[in-house]
Amino acid sequence: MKIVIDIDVPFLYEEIIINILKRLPAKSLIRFQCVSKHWKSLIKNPSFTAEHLDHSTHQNPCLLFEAIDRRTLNLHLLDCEMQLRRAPNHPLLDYLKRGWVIGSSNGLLCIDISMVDCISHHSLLLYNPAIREIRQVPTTCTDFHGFVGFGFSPIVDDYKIVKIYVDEAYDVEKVEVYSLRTGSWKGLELGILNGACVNSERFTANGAIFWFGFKRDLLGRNGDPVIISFDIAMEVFTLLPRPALVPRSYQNRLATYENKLALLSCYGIRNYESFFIELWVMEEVVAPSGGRWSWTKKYTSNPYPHFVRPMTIWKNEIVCKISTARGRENDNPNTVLFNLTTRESTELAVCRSDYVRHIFNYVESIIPVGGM
Amino acid sequence: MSSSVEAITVLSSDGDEFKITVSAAKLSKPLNWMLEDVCFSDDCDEVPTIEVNSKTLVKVIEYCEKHAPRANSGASDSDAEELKKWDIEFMKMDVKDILFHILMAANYLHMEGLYDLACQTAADLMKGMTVSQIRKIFHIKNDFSSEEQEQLRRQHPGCSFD
Repeated sequence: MKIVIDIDVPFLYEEIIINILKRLPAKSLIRFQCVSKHWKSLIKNPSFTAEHLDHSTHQNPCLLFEAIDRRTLNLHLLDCEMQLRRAPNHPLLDYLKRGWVIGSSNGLLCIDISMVDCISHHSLLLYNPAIREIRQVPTTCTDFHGFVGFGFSPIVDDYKIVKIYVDEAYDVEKVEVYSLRTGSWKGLELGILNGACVNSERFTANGAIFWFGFKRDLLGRNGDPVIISFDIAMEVFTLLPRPALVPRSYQNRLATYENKLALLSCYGIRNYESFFIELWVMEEVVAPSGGRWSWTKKYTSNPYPHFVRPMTIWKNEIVCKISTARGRENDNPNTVLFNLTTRESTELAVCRSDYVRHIFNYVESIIPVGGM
Repeated sequence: MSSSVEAITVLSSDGDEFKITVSAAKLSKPLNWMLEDVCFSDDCDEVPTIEVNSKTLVKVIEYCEKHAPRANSGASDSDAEELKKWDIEFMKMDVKDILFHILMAANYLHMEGLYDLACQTAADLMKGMTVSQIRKIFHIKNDFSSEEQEQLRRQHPGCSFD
């Protein structure tokens, strides 16, 4: 056997190879697992997976559009270069057709498939579209009425799903948590959620999951509106205040701004001829009088002529759906971005004929869904 | 170090001499330390050797000289834009022939900007490559058994070993 070593080409240090690989899209990395056993173990290594995620989070934060076309779920991605592409559906999702994205965290999506006709149990899937891995979360109940949240905590390095069961009046009855690390569900004490009700979709950020809700007063009436926060690491609920919004503000949605919890709202003036978007940020204050959190208004948009629904904050933009009939037409924009610095707005036509249900922040990762 | 020195001489691993201005040399941490520690006046005999071949060193010095003014004084947005375009042109090079050498040199000389640029260039080139092309440029042998290949194919449909 003749061994030829080309001395002109250097063998790169592993450190350099890792620095190159972390810049590759998931699709290429899946392919390059087949290069050699060493490359496969390099790519599968959790520390590399984390490095790749970190690079992707900082260099290419994307938006995920949960779009519905004739009741079929389609996922579309918008990257930093404003390129839109269809995220590949897993064959299982293509088969089920319907699904409801609960949350997006580090490239993993939690999808509720309970409304699929052939499924009788309350069922959830974990899906990584970049590597097309899917896994069914064990079911705990046949009948579920309530709110689900999904998120990650770096403190415990674990992904968790929370199910809040509510009665007809939206009062919390029971809470269950699923950990991807242990692969099992467990019940939680209600604690501060005793006498609280939940009434909104969830939002996940900074190791916590949030919902809007109310705390009932002693007579059982709706008391103060609150934000319910679930610490993923500690598995503890906390109640946070809501800001004092303009009366009749609607479509309040939670987001993160400069790593702080933020609230987006919209209101119309002059018989709904123009609309304004507001951004509020929650900051920790040192107040001996008791209140630990205070909300500050950071931004009010220029007037916008259409009814919009704020969805999230992406890079330096507030992302909104344009919710007029106009938005459903093929070529009309259905999404608008409000730049927080320049105050300019950019209209986009995303996914064309599909109805956009939700818009999530998304980063591509190669994190496996098959347990950790 | 005497403040009158504006350029220093260095030797490549092939033994060729190269001039590099002090401000450009400062982009490299080890060179910067050397500038602070060693005497570089005109009557100094010692010429430091950089373990990088001549062909690569020419490119590294070219990069340093281009980036030094901006690194030392900061730059306007239009300068940054111009520099970005220059980087793209600068990186149009053969992977095997020179890019890998630049990667090794930038890593060895602790030049963050050039290292990042070279890693990104390599990644952009690799994105579209086949598995066998990757093996060729990285000198890697396919060490999977046919059973292992079959298993990987099952896990990731469309996974190719060629």
